[in-house]
Amino acid sequence: MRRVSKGERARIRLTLNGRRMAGEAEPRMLLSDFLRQALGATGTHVGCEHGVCGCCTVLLDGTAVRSCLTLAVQAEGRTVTTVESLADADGTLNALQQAFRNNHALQCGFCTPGILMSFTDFLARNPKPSEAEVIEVLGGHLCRCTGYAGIVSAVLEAARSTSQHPNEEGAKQDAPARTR
Amino acid sequence: MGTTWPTWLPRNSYPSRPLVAHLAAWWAAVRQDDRRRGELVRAEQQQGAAAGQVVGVEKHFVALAERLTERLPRQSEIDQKRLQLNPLLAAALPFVGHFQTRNKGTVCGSIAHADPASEIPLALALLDGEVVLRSRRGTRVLAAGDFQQGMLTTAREPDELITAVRFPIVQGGVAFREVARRHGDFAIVAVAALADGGNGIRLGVAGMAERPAVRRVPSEDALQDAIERLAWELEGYEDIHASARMRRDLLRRIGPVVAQEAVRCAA
Repeated sequence: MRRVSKGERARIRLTLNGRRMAGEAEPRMLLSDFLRQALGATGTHVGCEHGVCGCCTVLLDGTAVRSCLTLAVQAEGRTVTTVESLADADGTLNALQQAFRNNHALQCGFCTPGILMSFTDFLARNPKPSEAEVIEVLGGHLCRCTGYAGIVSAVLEAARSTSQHPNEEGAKQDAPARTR
Repeated sequence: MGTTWPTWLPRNSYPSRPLVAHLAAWWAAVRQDDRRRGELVRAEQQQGAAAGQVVGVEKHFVALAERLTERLPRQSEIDQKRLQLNPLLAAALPFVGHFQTRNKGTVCGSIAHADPASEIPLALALLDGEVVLRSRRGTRVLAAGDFQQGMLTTAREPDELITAVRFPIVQGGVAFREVARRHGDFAIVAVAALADGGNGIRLGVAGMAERPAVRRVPSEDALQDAIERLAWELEGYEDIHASARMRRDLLRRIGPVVAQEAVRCAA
């Protein structure tokens, strides 16, 4: 096992949104700060930094986790998926993002990256969720401006659209590679 | 010295008496360890037989290892069986964390974090469980009360890792309730009770003081008064979620309900 002493900067290699990347981090550095500061992936937002607000949620090996409760060294060799992966290279939104747009599910948008990543994981596990299940997962996020009704209807619309057209454009990002 | 001399060791083969004495002491220690181990194995077998041969239970504890995430107990067969031995943990775990934090959170992590309003440390304190700490210097086992010292403060040394948390197998009735703003948040006040057939009920309260408080309260008429005294003793703390007065009031309201529920479960 690799040992990194306190204060030592270690090289962390990981796959971010399908690209192999590397950066340097002290053992105490959070994954959220590593993504933003070392790798420049600023789509992941940092809110409360203690796991309550959900802004910083990313997928680690396909599972939604708080990047502010994960150390950068824990992501060594693993696959991290952030909000930057959702839209196509030309800016076309995926089904979930488009549903958020259709349902006015964001206003300032600060909390949105985390919510999108949570539901990317959740809809991959549970493609036809009930409203209660969506509300339960959304309970792990705080949104201070839009309110939650629009977000719930957006997720339900995204679930309907992807389960009706599983082979079309919008569905492909909803099932990230899973190693577990 | 009251020990049996090993048959394979010739009685007069060692000229040095200190060495012989040393060996004899060592042998006595080994025999004693063997006997103790034998008793533990028998205890485990009895427990296992009572609970339908449970896998992964050591001694009289349900040991939860470091890597067991909180999400797993719902999904894994073996952990379901383990949790049947600990209905308190089974009642408290659904209140712990959200989908996103449970994906990564662990039982030992929750114990290490030692939040004063956290559910798992409350369950461990109420049941008088143990925390296993390991470092290069060795392994030590601390009782829950000795481990959690205050607000987010524990007896863990910087070089130590929690490798297991041991929950005693519950004998008697248990109950758990909490009040929180959102399901999955840390509790504003959480109350757990164990009716173990002894004198009164063991009542554990989280969210009122800097660490879980466990007291024995009477089970019948004097219950409400005892909880009233407990509320004033613990005082409760103020934060953005609730005033100390609200916390005391929550304890007065859910304390008796939880205690009586535990008694009913024991019956």
